[in-house]
This record gives sequence, structure tokens and C-alpha cells, in this order.
Amino acid sequence: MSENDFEKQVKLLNEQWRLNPSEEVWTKVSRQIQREKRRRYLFVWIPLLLLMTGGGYWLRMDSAKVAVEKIRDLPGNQEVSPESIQLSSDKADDILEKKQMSIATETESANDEEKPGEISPQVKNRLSVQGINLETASVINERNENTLVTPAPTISDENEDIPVVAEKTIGKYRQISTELQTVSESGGLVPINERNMLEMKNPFSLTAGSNTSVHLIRKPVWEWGLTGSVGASYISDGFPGLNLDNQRDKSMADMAPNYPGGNFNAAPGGMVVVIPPTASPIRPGIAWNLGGFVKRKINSRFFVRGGLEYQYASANRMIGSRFSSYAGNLNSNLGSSFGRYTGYYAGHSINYTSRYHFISLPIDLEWRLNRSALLPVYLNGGLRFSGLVFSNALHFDSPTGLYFRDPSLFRRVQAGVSAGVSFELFAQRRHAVQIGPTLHYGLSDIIKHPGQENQHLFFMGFKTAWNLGKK
Amino acid sequence: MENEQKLVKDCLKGKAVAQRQLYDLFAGQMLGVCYRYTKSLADAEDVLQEGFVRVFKYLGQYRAEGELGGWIRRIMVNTAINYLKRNSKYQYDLAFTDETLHPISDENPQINIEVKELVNLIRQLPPGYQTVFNMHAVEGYTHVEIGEILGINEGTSRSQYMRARNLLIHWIEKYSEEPKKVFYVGK
Repeated sequence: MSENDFEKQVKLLNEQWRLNPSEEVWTKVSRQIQREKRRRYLFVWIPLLLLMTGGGYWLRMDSAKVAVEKIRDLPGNQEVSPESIQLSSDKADDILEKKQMSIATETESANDEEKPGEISPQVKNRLSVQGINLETASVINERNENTLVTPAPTISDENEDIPVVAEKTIGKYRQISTELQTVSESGGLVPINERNMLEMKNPFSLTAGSNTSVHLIRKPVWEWGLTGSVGASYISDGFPGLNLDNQRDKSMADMAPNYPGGNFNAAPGGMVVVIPPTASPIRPGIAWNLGGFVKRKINSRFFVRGGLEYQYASANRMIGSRFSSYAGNLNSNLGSSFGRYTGYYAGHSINYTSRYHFISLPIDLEWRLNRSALLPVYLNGGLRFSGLVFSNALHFDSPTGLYFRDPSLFRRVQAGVSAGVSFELFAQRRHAVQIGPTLHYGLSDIIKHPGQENQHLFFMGFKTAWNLGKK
Repeated sequence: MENEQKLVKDCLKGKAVAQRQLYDLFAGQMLGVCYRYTKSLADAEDVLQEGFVRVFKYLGQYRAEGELGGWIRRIMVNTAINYLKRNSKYQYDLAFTDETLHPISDENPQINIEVKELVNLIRQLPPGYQTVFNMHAVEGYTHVEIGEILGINEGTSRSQYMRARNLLIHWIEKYSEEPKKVFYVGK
């Protein structure tokens, strides 16, 4: 016997040594793999969110700078402090508005034949707090030394931002309503207050002696209406684009490919592989949803939207003929107990549509990307909490090659994310319509038991929202 | 081999079916490996679970140059060693002492016992012997590699191995004569 024969024998014998691990080991392994996978998704999502937040912040700062530059470009302006560049775009808009008012006052003062009167120290203080340039303000004090007539307009109606500016200034006008006056239709001076501000189309268009009736519409804070979307849905085992290859031979929520008994029989000297019947591939199906929404304005750029929707999703696959009854234990490691099942054989003779019915509670944050009054564009994203009301989807038991129904295997409460872009049509009218592409991705696994492929509902389509009322 | 490569590719794409197939293909064999390093089947299953999680985590690093089974086996052995190192009940097993080189035995007896009995005899080897014997005789690690992995001298590894080898040969011979008596020697 040659040297090291003992080691060779030991090695050979040990290579034949096999033990059957308990099913619990695989359950734990697959659970940890899923956890790792989720962690990897977080690594993708968190930078993406940071990027979006950073991008949004940059855009916002950029728009603020543009607004400040507008102020600088206005004639006679030397008063923009460097700090104002750091202001948000809303603040910059306020500055712009005040400067415009100031210049308007100056223009009127230059053209008006009347000599400006004295402004009382109290009024000066209050107006200076509001940022109005007192040096150039035109004031008459025929009736009351604390009255100020708003000067001739220099801001044209072409400025589409005027309604927004006016809306923002209502509170400020109210504070100085005893000082600001306009000319009523009868020709008399009327103090500007919140009530008549609402009736003015443009407070800057007032001139001393003008008898033009103006009407201002205050922008509503609350909006409500109907929402709906239509598109295609399918089930993916990850966010599409990150794991596209899986779609080819992947079966969907109605497929739970598992090998409870282990289909591979290990034997010394070779491996006998028993190939299980495979589930047919899944094709996308029609999906739609319909519901109501309530929208709350946070500021001129951001809105929050909540609602209640009915959601329908479907998917198609080819299956074999129907069997009326099967008594046994199908997919026991998924939680199915011994019972009597109805279902279908594996095959390609019948097109089966799996239907999912949800009640959803979406919560979205909307970000208005532009300031166009004609065609506002919104970027939206948010969360969706859904309850699965009913599904006729089938599960696939690979050892037997049977499709069977078991509603208890579905996760009833699910969470998801949504994102989209929408364009607001008829924005100037009472019933505006928002329309645009949207996508939903279910973060929750549709099947609640670990140890099977991830199955997430994915929807892509067009969404529309119809405003029914505002307040 | 091609099937294995396809299986690996599918696993890397995250297909649960492929992951399960890979597990089924190697779990039995790898549990045998883990079992030789541990004191109980429960511990062996813990090592197997931890090992497979690492297999799937680092599967992207597997190059198809070598056998997949060999690569997984190395991961299992490393996982088992780490498990022994951090588990208090195995600390004594890994408390190696520097010993003088044991004379090399030229005994190469024919092993006429079943694999199950051989594995049980290996598992009854004294603390320290078992790990070194498994790594050298079964897995094929050199004493230098064993020294690096276990943090011991090469000489210590060699010495431990020779003691283990001699003891095992003695037990195998005795077991062939009187199976029942020898089987309980190490307990």
C-alpha cells in the first residue's frame, strides 16, 4: 500500500458522506437571503431619494436665484441684500412683489401732479415692516393723514404670477387696510381690506381716480375630486429594471415554485435529478383603479394628496385542464395544510386570468415643477396602503404540477410606493384635470410565507384626476 | 458543469427556484462536512445555514474555473472554523499547544468500516485533533494553510495531525475486531 493511502481512503469515504438537513435550514437561509436582498434595494433607493431631494433642493434654490435676479433687473433697484439670495423662491417672490409695488409707487409719484403728503411715523413703521419703499410712495392725506392711495400700476396683466402674488399679499393688506385705499365705482376712496381685495382682479391695477372694478380670486387651499388610472399590471420579483431577466420564465403571484420534499436525490457516485413540472410564464394583464381624493396645499410648490381607491390588477397565464378535487398537502412549506383543493393541471390549453381586487389608501406628495399658470407640471410620489379584498389567483405546486387555490396564502395588507408626473389641464378653470404617467410598486410580498420567490405587484399606466371642488 | 454555471447565473439573477436547486444539490454533502467539525447535528445545521447565506452572498465572486462544489466546500469549512472560534463550547477544542513534532507513522491500514462509523470515530477525536485532521486529511489543506487559518504553528498542526492519525488508525483496527467497544472509546 502506497504512502498516504490512508488519507485517500478517508477522503473518498468522507466525500460519500451525506446527511439530509431539515427543511427549517432552507427556510432560514431563504429568509436571510430575502433580508439581504431588501437591504440591497435600500442601497439603491436611499441614494435615489437623496439624489431626488438634492435635485429638488437645487432646483428650488435655482428658481429663487432667478427670482432675485428679476428683482435686481427691475429699474431703480439697488436694495437687494445678499441675504435675500439665500431665501427660498417664495420669499424671493414676496420681495419681487414688494419691489414691483415700490416701483409702481415711484412711477406714479413722478407722473402725478399732486404733491405727495406726509406719512405718519406709525404708517411708515408699518409699511417699512411690509417692505414698501416709503421714500418713493405716493401719499395723499386729504381726509386722513393715515391714508395711502395705491399708485398707478406698472405691472402688466401679462405677468401670470400676479394672482399668486396677490393671494400671498392678502394678509399683509389686511394688516394695513386702514392705510391703503382704492377708488370705488362711485369715485370715493374705499379702504382696501380682505373683503374688497377678494373682489379685485388685480390690486396693482388700481390708480388714483380710476373707477375700474377689479376682482381678485384667492387660491384655494383644499381641492377634491375623482381620480382614476388605467394601464397594465404584472408581478415581479423585484423592482423592474433592477432584475429584468427574471420575468422571462418567472411565474407570478399565482405561482409559488417550491420543492417541499426536495426533488434532488443525492446518491453516492452520482446525482439523480428529478425535474419538476414547471409553471407557465405569466403575461401582464389589464389594471385600473378609481376613487376619490382630497388635496391640501402646503405652499405654492408643494401639495399633499390623500384618497381612497378601488384597485383592480390582473395577470394571464396558460394552464391545463381543470380538476375538481385533490385531497392532499400542497405546498406544505408555504403554510397550506392537508385539505381538499380544486384547481388545474399544468399545461397550455386554457388562458387563465388571475384577478386581484384591492382597496387602497394612497398618500402622495406633489411638487409643482413650474410656475406656468396655463400648464402646471407636477412630480408626485408617495405611499399606498392596500388591503387585498379578493383574488382568484392560483398557486403552483411544482412536485405535483398542480395549480390550486388557497386565499390564505396571500398577504392581506400590503404597502407600496407610487411615482409619476402629471400635467394640469384647464388650470384656470374651476374643474381642472390632471393627467400623466404613473407607476406603482408593491413593497410587500404578495405571498406571506417565506421560502418562495418574491412576488411584488407592479403597475404602469396613465393616471387622471378631475377636480370637482375647491375651498 | 454547464448546468452548474446556468444555475449560478440564475442564482445571481435572484431566482428563488435556482437558489433552491443549488441548495438541494449541495446541502446534503455540505451538512456532512459541517457535521465533522461540530459536536451535534443542530450545530452542523447552524453552520450549514450560515455557510449557504455566505455562498449566496458571495456567489458573484465564484469563477467558473474550479468546481462549484469545491468552492462551496471551502466556504463551509471557513464558516465552520469561524463558528468554532466564536462559540464558547468549542474554545477548548481550538486551544492548541505547541508540541514537539510527532514521529510520522508509516501505517496505512485498509479502512474496512462504513463511512458513518468513520465519521463518528473522527468526531470522537480529542479536542484540537479533530479540526486539524479534517482540514488536512479530508479537505486537503496543507499544514501551512491550517496554521494560518487556525493561528497556530505549522509544527503544531503537523503534530496534532499525526497524533490524530495514529489514534484513528488504532481505533479503526480495534473497531474492525470489536466494533461495539471501540465505538465508545472517545466518549
